[in-house]
Parts: sequence; C-alpha cells; structure tokens
Amino acid sequence: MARHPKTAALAVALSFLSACGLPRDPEGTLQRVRGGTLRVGITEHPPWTIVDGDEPGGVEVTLVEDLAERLDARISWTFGSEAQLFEALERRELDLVIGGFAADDPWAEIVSLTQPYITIRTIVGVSPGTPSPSSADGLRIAAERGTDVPALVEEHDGIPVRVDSLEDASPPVAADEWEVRALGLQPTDVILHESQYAMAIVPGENAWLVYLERYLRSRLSEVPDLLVEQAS
Amino acid sequence: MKAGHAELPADKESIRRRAVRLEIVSILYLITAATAVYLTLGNSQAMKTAWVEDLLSFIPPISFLFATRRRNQPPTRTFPYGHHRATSVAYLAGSVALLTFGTLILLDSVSKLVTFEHPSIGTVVLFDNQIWLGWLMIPALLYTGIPMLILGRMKLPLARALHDKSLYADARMMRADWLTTTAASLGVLGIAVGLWWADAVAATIISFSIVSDGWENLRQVTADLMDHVPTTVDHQMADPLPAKVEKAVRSLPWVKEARVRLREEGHVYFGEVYVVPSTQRDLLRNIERAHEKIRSMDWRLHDVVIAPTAELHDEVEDLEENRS
Repeated sequence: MARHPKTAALAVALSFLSACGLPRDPEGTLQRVRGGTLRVGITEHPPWTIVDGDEPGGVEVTLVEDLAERLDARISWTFGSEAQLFEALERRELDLVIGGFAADDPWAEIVSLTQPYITIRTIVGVSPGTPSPSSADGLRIAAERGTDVPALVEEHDGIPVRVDSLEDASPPVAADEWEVRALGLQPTDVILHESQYAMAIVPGENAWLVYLERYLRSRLSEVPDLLVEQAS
Repeated sequence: MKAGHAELPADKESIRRRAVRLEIVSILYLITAATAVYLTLGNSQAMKTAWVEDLLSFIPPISFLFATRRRNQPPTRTFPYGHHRATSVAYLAGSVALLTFGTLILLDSVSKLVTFEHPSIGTVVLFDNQIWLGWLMIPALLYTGIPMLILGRMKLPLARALHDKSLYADARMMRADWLTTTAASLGVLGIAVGLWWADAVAATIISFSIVSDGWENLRQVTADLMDHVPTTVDHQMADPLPAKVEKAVRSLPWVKEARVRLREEGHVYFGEVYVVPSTQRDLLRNIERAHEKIRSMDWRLHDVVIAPTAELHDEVEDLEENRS
C-alpha cells in the first residue's frame, strides 16, 4: 500500500462511497434478503451442486448456506432446469441461481453472472512418484465418458481412453485438478482447459451483486478444500 | 493557363503542419481513451455508446491525414482535376459510419429502455482492492472527455484558416464530447443510486447525438459533392468569394458582362468565369491577365477557367434558398 499512496487514497475514497450504501439496488434485494428469505434456484452439477432428495448439497450449496447465515436469512430452495430457473431469475422470482455455471457457458450471454469466483483447471494427473510428462502429445490418457474431457485430451494431441469411472482407471488421467488430488494422483503442469465458475444473479441489483462478489472472494481460498471434501 | 497543384500558399503550410501534428496527437490520445473506456465497459449501455463514439472519433483525424497526403498529388491523365476531393470522399465515408453506428446503438439503447433491462455492474479487483466497477467508469469518462474538449478547441481555428471542412467537423465533434462525458457519468451515477433507467437514457442521448452528427455531416458533404455553391467552413453561409470575383471581372474595361460559377473540390475552388467581351482586341492577353488577377485574389481560387462567350444564359433562381 505504501508504494501506491495514490491508489491507497483512491481505495479509501471508494470504500467511503460503499459505506454510503452505494451502489444501491433498484428493487432493494439486499435489504429484503437481510433477516428475510433468500430465494435460491438450484440445478444439479456435482460437485458444485448435488440434489439428493429434498436436501441440496455441494460446494456452492455450502457457500450459499454460509452466506444466508451471514445475512441472517432463511433459504427457500427451488429445484429445476437452467431454462426454468433463469426465466424465474429474469422475472425476479429468484435472487440467485447456482449450478456450477462456467463463465464460458452459452447462457453466460443471457443471464447476469457474478465475477467468476474461482478458476478450475482440467489437468493431467499421474501416479505419485512418476515423472511429469511435458505435454499430452501422444499419451494414452484416461478420461470420463460423456464429459468434455476426452475431447480436451484430443485437442492436445493425446489419445483419450474413455472410462466409466476414474476410480479404477490406470493413470495418467485427465480431470479437474481437485479430482486428480481426490483420486490420490499427482497433478502435472499439463493443463488441458481452464474454467471460471460463477453464480447467476438477478439482473441489475448491484448492491446485492457487490455483496455477493465480495463474499465469494472472501471464501476463494477455501473452495479447493471444499471440492476435495465433497469428492471424498 | 496553368494551375499549380500544391493547394496551400506558403504561409498556410505551417498551419497545416500544426493541424497534422494535432491530428496525430488526437489519434494517439484516442487509442488510450478508447482503451480506458473499454476496460471499464462492464454492462453499462452508456459506457458502450461512449466507447462506440470514441471509436468513431478515429475516423475524422485518420481521414484528414489520408486526405492531406492525397490532396497535393498533381493532376494526371486519369485524374485530370487532381485529387482534391479526397477530403470529401473521406468525409463522406466518415459521415456514413457515424450515421450507421449511431442508428444501431440508438436502437440498442432504446430497446434496453423499453424492455426494462436492468444493467448489472459488479466489482473488479484492482491492486488487491475489490471495488465497484462503476467508480472506475467515471474517471475513464473524464479522461476521454476533457482532453477531447481541449483538442477540439485547438483545432477549430486551424480548420477555419485552412478552409478544411473535415477538420472543422472533427473539431466540433470533439468539442461536443462534453455531452457524452456528462451524460454517461450521470448514467453511471444513476445506476449507483439505484435508477436502472438512467444508464439507458444516457445511452439514448449519446447515440442520438452521434446520429445527428452523422446526419448533419452527411447532408453537408453530399451538398459539397453535388457542387453546391461554396460555403464558409461552418456551412453557415455562402462564401462571398464568387461574388467578389464576379465584381472584379465585371470591372475590367474589356468586359461587358460576366458570370462566375464556382464549386468546392475539397479545400479549394474550381469553376468558370463566363465573360462577354466588349471588344475582341487583345482578347487572349486580356484573359491571361484577368486569370492572374483572379488567382492572386485568394489561394482557394485554385483552378478557374475564363470562357469568353457571345451571351450569358439566364440563371434559374432556386425555388427555396435552403442554405445561404
């Protein structure tokens, strides 16, 4: 901070503005949620969101439950498809929709997403103690069937071996970094893809948006552990 | 009769060089300004229109620099009148771009307004501080607004001295950029206090000003290309020069009647002086002398032909005197 006295002054000035309650919500969402009800839409996308019976679970559910506690709010969950939930969000019947949405998903164009709160890398993992390959080129790599991972392997000139479960696949495997760790494998520097995850939020409620983005950033460092925890 | 191909007299050359320098400075500055606005764009429609306007602001200085290289090229067999109209062509292209993009973004802004679209503006992390992007938009807007105003003011007198309509339009547009800065800043402040419509209203105002700039410029450059009678650089009135030439030629002892017809080719005037001589004696030498006299009246009288004729045709009055 001392090296940027002007930036520090600017930051002080700007936090003063935030202290005045700016920006404000046109429809007062943040105020209504505080001590009230947080209306959350949820669509399944493990490990971010898991819908099992009536009880939702997953990393984003944990984050939202903690958020509600902070706001002293009760959560009312709505289960549904993206199409249903985004429609309800657009019409202000929901305050938030979660489901492990990536910033490069097709619907990122039509709904309001928060700033991505975490970047997840899809990487190649090897057995502990084996040397890391320098690239995926020519390697036979296990990847889960029915996901985008086999295609990512192909894009990097690897040969995908499609498996039903990574648990009993023989390394190297391609998966998200936390998954590789959860499998007890050793992550390598071979990165196949990066996805940034975000939540969908009711459009134009900027105080609510700023509150949520600040909250998510404050939890950033815990997300990888939450992911591994979820997997085990 | 010869017409030199270099348009400007020596004393105007230094002004032209200053204008070129200013336009280069404008382009360099616009690159930084457009970048600043782009980086803080967010979801604000007002910021988007301000950005489009910044991008469109590149057209006048670039076309000025392009025209300034082109205009002094000597006439050739394929371009016997020289390249003076390079200016008008560049100006025409610029006007069409303003009108097109202005209309598109105007429709976009109005549709956001009528569909009640609430703009979402979140936070960014800057030097480890997480701040609302809206607070960065306003300094970015001021950065694009204030230097524009100054550059516009500096270009205006140069445009008058050089009789350069594209430079004049550029200067006027830049000077009017305060409107964009103010409207967009108010739009952002409106979002900050929870007025979702402020942004789209500001965007509508800005895009409307782009459209009207484009329309006005298009109207004027079309008139110039249609050989409208020369006007002053601000298009406010007819240039008195043709009348002065006509008077000067009429006052020559060998001239019975004369009529002048001039048109603008970019910065300079081309045209004919029809003369009914009272005597045919020394006609060639008389014409030559009259030609020199006309050339010395004003640097803009670039290529004027004196045509002796037996009688003048009747001039038809305009049904409506639209622009003089």
